[in-house]
Amino acid sequence: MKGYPQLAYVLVLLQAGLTTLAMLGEVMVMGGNPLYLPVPLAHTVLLVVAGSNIRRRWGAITLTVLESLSLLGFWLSVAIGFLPWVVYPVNLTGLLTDLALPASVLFLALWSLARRGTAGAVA
Amino acid sequence: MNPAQIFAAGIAPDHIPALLAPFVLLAVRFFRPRRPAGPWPVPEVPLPTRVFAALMWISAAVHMALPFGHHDNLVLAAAFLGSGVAYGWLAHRAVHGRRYRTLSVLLILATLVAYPAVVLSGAEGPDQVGTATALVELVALGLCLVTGKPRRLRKVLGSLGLLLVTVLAGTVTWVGALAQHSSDGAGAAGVGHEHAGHEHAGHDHAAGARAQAGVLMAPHDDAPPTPDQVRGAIELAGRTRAELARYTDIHAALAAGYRPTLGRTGYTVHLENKAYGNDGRILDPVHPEQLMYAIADGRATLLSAVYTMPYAGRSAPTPGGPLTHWHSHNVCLTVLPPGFSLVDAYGGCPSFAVKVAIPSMMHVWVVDNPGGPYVDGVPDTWTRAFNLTRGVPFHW
Repeated sequence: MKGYPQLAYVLVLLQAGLTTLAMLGEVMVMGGNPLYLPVPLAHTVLLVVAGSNIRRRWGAITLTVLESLSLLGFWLSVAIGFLPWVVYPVNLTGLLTDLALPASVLFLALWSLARRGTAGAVA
Repeated sequence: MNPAQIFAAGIAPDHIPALLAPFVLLAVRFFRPRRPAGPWPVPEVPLPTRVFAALMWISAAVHMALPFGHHDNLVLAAAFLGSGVAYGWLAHRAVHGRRYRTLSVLLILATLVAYPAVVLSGAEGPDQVGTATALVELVALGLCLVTGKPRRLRKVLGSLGLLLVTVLAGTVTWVGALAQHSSDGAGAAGVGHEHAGHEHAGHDHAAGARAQAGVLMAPHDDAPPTPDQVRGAIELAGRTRAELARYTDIHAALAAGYRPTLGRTGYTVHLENKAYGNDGRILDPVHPEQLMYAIADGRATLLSAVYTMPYAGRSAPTPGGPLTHWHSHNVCLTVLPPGFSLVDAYGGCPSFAVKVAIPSMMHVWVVDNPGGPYVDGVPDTWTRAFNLTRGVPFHW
């Protein structure tokens, strides 16, 4: 998979953009409260830094953790949607951003780790 | 609305061919006969270029299928066909090792600008197919802007460019969707008049809601209401107005146990009475689950009852048929720190949030607004002027 770091980085950048937009929306809904800025900002920075270092072990591991958490959030939302008071609002864009995007980056991060492992074994 | 209804409601009927087009393309790609390998070695195409080409083919398929749903507008159909051909041509160039980046960036940016412009003009509502295609195009744009070459400045500029375009396109789509939703019904007739706030001037009522950016709404029934349904709608509106007269002064509502659900000021402040939310009564004007007030400029005005279903995903009664339409909200609940937000235009939530849709609700207005008693929202400019002249003096 020649060029996978570039693909991973672009996908992570898109995730960072989506997180930024959602963060701005929450800050507005919560009356401009700046308390809702630090966590998404830290998440965004971590995503971009790890995404640009996916070739390194720590970068791939960080992305694996972050994307696993994103996927966990997706499945948690689906599970909570079985409660009688709420449902999971499934739609096309949600499936792309909540499922396909994190799964793709997770795959690339795991592939990077596996590649390093293989290279280490050969060496 | 249950999850299946929510998914279906997000797809505009005239975009169904465009939704199916990438799957047709995939099937053609899968079943086409493979060419025998030639005697010369074929250079390996890097993964990002292959992904770029695939995304461009998807966008080409979507654009070329859009005229099936927009055949009544020749100019728009021609523009879709032209852009579809351009997307396909650039994908072809990419996999054959020719230059493609500059033209692709220009084409994608033009598309990403044109789509929100059409949305903001009101000519078309954003829907899930349109937004999903924009996401596909954003990834393709990123693959053009951020190349694998180790040029730090170009990488930084490309990264910032992609972030900016992503946030801007999402913001415009989000604002456009919410604006279309809040203006739904503005200018329509009230109950009892022709079409009774049901449909107006070829405008699609659920248009803004198909973006599903914080608002969920089932597609409206296009059939005109029957006389019984008009009577039912008039009766519910009349009873609601009569019963809510006692809450005209917000102090009475507070004394009756209504409390703000979220914001305490603004033109759509919801006050909820939790006891009425769990009493098993639905559409009961004596015990409305929520009241909506305008609270601003030192005044408060009762605007509407907000009837709420006790559970999500259940069908709600519609005594006025297509006149009495319910909506829901898809929201994000965050934990770090505890908070609340609406789902954004890309279907996303802030970090570490769960996403749910809450039970359906329906506004029944008790003031004479421009859209009639069952309108989903009115412009803030109207509410502000109304509150200034009719509001009761009030401060928290």
